[in-house]
Amino acid sequence: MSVQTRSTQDPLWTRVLLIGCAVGFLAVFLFVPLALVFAEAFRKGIKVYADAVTEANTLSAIYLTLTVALVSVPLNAVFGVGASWAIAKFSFKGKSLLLSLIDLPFAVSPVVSGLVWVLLFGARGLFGPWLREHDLQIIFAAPGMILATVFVTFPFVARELIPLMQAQGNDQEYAALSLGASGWQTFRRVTLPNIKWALFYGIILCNARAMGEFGAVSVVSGHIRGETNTLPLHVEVLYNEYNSAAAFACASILSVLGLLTLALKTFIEWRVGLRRQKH
Amino acid sequence: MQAKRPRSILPGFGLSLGFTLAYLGLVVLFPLLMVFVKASGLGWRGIFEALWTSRVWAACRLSFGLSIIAGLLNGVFGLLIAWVLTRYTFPGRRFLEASVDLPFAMPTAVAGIALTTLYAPNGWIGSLLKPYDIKVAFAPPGILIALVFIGLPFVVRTLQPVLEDFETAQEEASATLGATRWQTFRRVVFPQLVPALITGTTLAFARAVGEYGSVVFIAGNMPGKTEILPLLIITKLEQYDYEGATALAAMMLVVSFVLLLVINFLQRKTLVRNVA
Amino acid sequence: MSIVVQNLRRTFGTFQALRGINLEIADHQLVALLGPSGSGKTTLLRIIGGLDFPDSGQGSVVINEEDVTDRPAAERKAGFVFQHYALFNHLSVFENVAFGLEVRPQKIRPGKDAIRDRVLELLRLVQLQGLEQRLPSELSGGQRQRVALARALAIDPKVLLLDEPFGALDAKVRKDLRRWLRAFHREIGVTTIFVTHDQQEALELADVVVVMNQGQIEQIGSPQQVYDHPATPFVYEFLGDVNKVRKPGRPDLFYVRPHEVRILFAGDAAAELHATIEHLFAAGPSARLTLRLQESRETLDADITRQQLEEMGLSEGDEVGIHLALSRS
Repeated sequence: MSVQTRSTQDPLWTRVLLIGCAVGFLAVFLFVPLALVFAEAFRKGIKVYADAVTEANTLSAIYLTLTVALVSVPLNAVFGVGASWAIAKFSFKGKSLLLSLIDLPFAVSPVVSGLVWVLLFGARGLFGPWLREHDLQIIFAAPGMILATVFVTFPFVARELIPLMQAQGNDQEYAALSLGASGWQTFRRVTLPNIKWALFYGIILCNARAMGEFGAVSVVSGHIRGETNTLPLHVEVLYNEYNSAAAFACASILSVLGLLTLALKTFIEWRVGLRRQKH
Repeated sequence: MQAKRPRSILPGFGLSLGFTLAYLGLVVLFPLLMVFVKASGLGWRGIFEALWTSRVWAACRLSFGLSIIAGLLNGVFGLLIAWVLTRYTFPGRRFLEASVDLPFAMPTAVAGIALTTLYAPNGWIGSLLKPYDIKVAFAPPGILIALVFIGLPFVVRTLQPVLEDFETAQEEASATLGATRWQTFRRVVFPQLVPALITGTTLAFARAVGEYGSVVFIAGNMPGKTEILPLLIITKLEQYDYEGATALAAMMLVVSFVLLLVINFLQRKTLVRNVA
Repeated sequence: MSIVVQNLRRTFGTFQALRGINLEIADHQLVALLGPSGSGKTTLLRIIGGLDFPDSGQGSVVINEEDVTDRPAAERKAGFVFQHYALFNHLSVFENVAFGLEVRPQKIRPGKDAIRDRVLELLRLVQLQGLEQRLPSELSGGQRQRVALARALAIDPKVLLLDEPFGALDAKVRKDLRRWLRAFHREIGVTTIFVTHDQQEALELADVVVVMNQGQIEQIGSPQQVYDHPATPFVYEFLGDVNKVRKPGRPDLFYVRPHEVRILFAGDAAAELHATIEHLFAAGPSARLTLRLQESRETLDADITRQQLEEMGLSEGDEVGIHLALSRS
């Protein structure tokens, strides 16, 4: 390389200074808190950690978290595929309004996302009396938590698929139809393979949020240990009981989930260049 | 939403659009509408009475004030990080690049207890600040730190594509015209980043206003002092003050919608500029 | 202002973009760097402009008897016009042209009025009066090109460097602008180098054509020289149509331009070769024949006048004799 400074390159001292600032900022705000989670989790030794993770209430929280995710993620994935098919493959009036409405849940505070379900299904809500008559419970029970989670994770899959399918256009589908494929065959054999990575990407992000959601679920949860606590809520309970080691042990499980999500996300980006990479 | 007859030979338009609208309506629009229906039941007077208390006013000031500061801080540091990630090559760049999304991937409750423990008077960082009498956790600075944490990716991820697509020839042109590197940044690059920077900052601000999980642990939650708006909604719910909670939620929704419109407008503007 | 480039080398990774370039350009000349893509012409232009640098210690750039090899672009006063103009999208036409004056250090920065006068004068020069307040996005391709030119001229450049100045324009605008640029250069007289891959453009416009290939200079000369007396087979092939032919009994390859192929009747004693007309296309005053040589089975293109075509009564499938009016082998 030449010794001269290119006109699009910053001087060495600037580069060193800015990289230093960026690394320092990210270290203080991201890496130190992450390291702390694991340090606190194992502070009292591996045995305390293992006990906290395998305790009955923790296991039931994990079970509920998985249940909630297992219902809400597929629902939103199916919605995402359907919505992106309608929006990307056809032109119709009001499309940009529809796009904005799909993004709406991202703009809403998690607390409000939970509150809306209380207003609908809570004891004093719109359907409250009817639910009580039929002895059905939605709020302060798993169904309410699923609904709240569906609401907050609503846009994830759709917003990954729509731009991709719009960019891909309809030519391949037209080709398949002209070759005699049925609509379903066209979707399954042409469209789906083209969007599978983006779909997977959306599902991963959706799942991470579904399993980690706190605010919305907190509003509709009954906060009953071993029954209506998801893992993030269980962390809160433990933390507020000053059981720091157990709280961080559970937090470490969620952190691993987050890191795994990041790793998968990065892998997919690298694999298919879904997000444009530099150079 | 009136569907024009699609001029497409692809099948499934009615089914997919019908399903989309039905699901959107049931899961998002109808529940949100309920907030306004309930709020309208209170009447203007009722809403006013629910909102016009010193406690709500203090929470508003705290939430909006700190969110603005957090948005601005994220604007500065997000620009710096986006610049470093797109312009420089250095060992570990890809690792940093991936880690920017950590606040998205990390459950907010985990971030909340981690930041609290870190900045508590006996925490790793809190204990360093204690001799100087700087209180972070259970005080407004702690809330600010949590809000900066969750807002950072918005600015970085909004700026990155704009910086990547930036025509380096413009920087070269500026250099051939005799501009210094700083002049080039200030007069050529920065003005063209401004729309994206405002978009990212607004996104971070919008997220901060509604954020709950990462803030509630570190906030201290003293009514009138360190009580944020979302927490106030929960408190009112727990006290069975549905009217108060609904009025607050309606106000926050209106703010969210306005911000969404602003962001949409900004993004469209950014897009047009990039195309031109 | 003269430019002297000596023994310049530039490597990108393992790719040798420039392999020892020597070039001298006299004052006031309009010089074309002509070559196919990847020949190193743009790299050479960027190095002269200070946007790129030679491999360390490999060569020098001297502008106006001053060694500027290690000088950054900002200190060279070389007006550079970029292929896609690189106009500042957020600034008006006026602000774009004024930019180079406004970023000067306070001591040598002209006053507001002086800047204004200079910008308006330049816009008049490039015939863009009245468009001062437009944004680049509101201009046509040809207008943007001229804004870029005015912007480059605002700093009183010692030399003007244009990278594929007409590359992004459509054919009609291209032709108009080409004519305009030649007149413009005569008017301002600044030593100008432009890069092009279009031989027509280089031959029509330049005082001197520098033909480049694979990081080296193949030939330097006037348009007439390089077209009529190509120094290397590459130049022969790159400039204009050319046939490669072997005469019977001789091993070496001949380069013959289509208009240098003389068509005779098959029985003509002057015929060196014999061929069949495979295809015939007549449009305008000349006709193009595609011939199949009987001796070697090679094909050969020939251009003859419409008049000759009619006088000889040629049609496809006819046999003809050929004489090669060789300018060079």
